[in-house]
Amino acid sequence: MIIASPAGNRVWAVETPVGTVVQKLYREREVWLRRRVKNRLEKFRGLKTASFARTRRATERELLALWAEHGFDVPADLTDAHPELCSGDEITVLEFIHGRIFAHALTGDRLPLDRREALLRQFATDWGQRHAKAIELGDARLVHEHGSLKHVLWSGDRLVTFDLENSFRAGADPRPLIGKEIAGYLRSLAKCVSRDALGRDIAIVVDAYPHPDLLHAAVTEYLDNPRRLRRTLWAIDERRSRGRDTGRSKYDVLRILRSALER
Amino acid sequence: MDTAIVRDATSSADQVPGTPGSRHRGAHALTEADIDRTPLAGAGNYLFRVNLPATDGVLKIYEGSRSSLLYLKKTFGNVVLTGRSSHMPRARCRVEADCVRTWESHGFRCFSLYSDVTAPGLDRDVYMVFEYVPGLHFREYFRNPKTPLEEKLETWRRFVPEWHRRHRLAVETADPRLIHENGDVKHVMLYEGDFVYFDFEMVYRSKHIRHLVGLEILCYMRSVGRFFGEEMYDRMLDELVATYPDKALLFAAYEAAYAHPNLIMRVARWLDRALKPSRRARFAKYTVARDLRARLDATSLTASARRKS
Repeated sequence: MIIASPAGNRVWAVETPVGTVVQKLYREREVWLRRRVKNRLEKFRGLKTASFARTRRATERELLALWAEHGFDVPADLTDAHPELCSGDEITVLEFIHGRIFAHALTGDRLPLDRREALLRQFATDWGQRHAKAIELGDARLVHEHGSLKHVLWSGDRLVTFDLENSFRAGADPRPLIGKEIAGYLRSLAKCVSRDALGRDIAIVVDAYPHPDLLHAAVTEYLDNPRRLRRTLWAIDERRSRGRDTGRSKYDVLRILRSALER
Repeated sequence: MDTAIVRDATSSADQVPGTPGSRHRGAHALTEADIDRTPLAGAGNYLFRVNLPATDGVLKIYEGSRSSLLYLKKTFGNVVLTGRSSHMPRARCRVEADCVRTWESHGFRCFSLYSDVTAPGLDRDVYMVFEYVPGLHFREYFRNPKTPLEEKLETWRRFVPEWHRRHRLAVETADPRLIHENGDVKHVMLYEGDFVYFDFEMVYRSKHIRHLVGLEILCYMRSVGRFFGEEMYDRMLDELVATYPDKALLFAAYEAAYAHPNLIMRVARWLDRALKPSRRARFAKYTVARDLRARLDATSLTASARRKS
C-alpha cells in the first residue's frame, strides 16, 4: 500500500561489549492525517505532549531523567553512552532489565500469596510516593499518561516503570490525572486476576497506599462526581464500556476500590 | 571492477609472478609490452592485466566498449532520476579513486590504487591501475560445495560486524562514499583472511545515509538469494539479524523499501512494485525487505511487533 499502516515502535535487546542494552526505535503509529488531527486537537487542549515519533523520544528521555531524579525506578537512559547505536534522531538506548511484566506475574496463582502481597505492597507504596511528589511539585509529568501494570517490570526486588513516551504537560494539575492513573492501573489489575483475587489485591493496595485521600478522589471523580456534566459523561462512558469490558471496566473496579476504602 | 579476478589463494598452480599480495610502490610508466591485452572483462570497461616491477596489477580503462550516447543516457538516469553520480568515464574514474581512498582511510581493504603508474597512449583521467589481488570471490566461496556450511557461516558472521562498522561510519560522517552503490556479493572478495571490496565507480549523492544503508543491505541480500539459493539465503539472513549489532539500522533496510519518510518516494516505490513483475520475484528487494522485517520483528521485545511477524 502507498499509505500503509506505519510500522510503529520497535524494541530490541542488543549485545554490546559492556553488556546487553535495549535499543528503542520510535516510529509513527498512525497514518499521517489521523496523526496530524490528533496532535492538533491535543495541542489545542494543552494537556498532553505530542505523539510524533521524535517528540515521544524526547518526552521519554525527559521523563526518565525526571523520574530517576526523584528516586522512582525507571530504566536508565544509556543513549549518550552508546552513540554507536544511535544512527538516527529517533532512537534511544536503555538499560536492559531481565524480568517479567508485573501484570503477567500477577496472572494466575503461580506466585505464592505472601510474595504476591509483598510485591503489591511495594508497588502501592512507591506508587503513592510518586503521586505525592507530583502534587508537591505541581508536576503532572510524574503521573503516568497511560498507566498499566503491563508497563511495570518486576525484576528481583525492583518494580520498574517503563514506556514514558507520552506525558501530561508539566503545568497541568496532577490531581485529576492521578485519579485517571489510579483507575488505569487498577483496571489493568482487573484484567489479569479473578474477581475474588481482585478484591483481595485491591484491599492490599488500599492498605499499603500512603495517601488514601487520592484513592477517594479517584472514586469520587468517576463514581460520585459533583459536577453534573462530568457525571453524565462518565455514565455514558460506562454504558459504552459495558459490552466491551464485561465486569472489568474502570467503573466496576472503582466500585471495588470504594468498598475496600469503606472497610 | 566489472569482473573480479578469481584466484584460489591456496592453489599453487595459479601463483602469480612476483610476490602474491605485495604492493607496488612508486612511479612507473607501463609500456605496451607490460600490458596483457587479453580482456579480463566482458562488455563495458576494459580490464587488462599488467606487469609491474615487483608484482602484477590491473589496468582499468573507463572509456570502454559502450557508446558515448549510452554513457549520456545512463548519466541522465543516474543524476536526474536515481540520485547517483555521473556514468561518464572520467567521472567514474574520479569517483572510484575517491572511494577507494576513503574506504582505505577507514581501514577497509580495497584494490589499492597505483596512481603513479601510467599507461601509454591514454588520457590520464580515464584509466587507473589497481593492485592485483589473488583472492576468492564471495560468489565462488559461498557456492563451493567443498567448503563446510559452518565455515561459510562463520565467515559471514565475521563479515557482518565489519559491514556494520562501515555503515556506522557512513552515518556518523554523513558520507555517502562509504555506501557501496553497487552492493553485491560479487564485489567482495576473501584474501588472506581479509575482506576486499571493489567496484566503486558510482556513488549516491543523497545525504540520507540511513536510507542508503538500507538500500545497500537490500542489494547485498538480494544477491545472496540470487547467487546462493533459498537455503543459504535463509541461513545468512538469520545470521545477519543475529550478528548485526545495530538492529535499528538494519531495520532501515525495510524502511528503504516500504516506509520512506517522503510520500513521493513511497508512491514511487508502490508504482515500482505494481508495474514491474520483476519486483515481485522471490529475491526482489521488496521481498528481501519483508523477510528482514519478519526476522527483526520476531526478535523484538514488544509483543505487538512479534505478532506482526
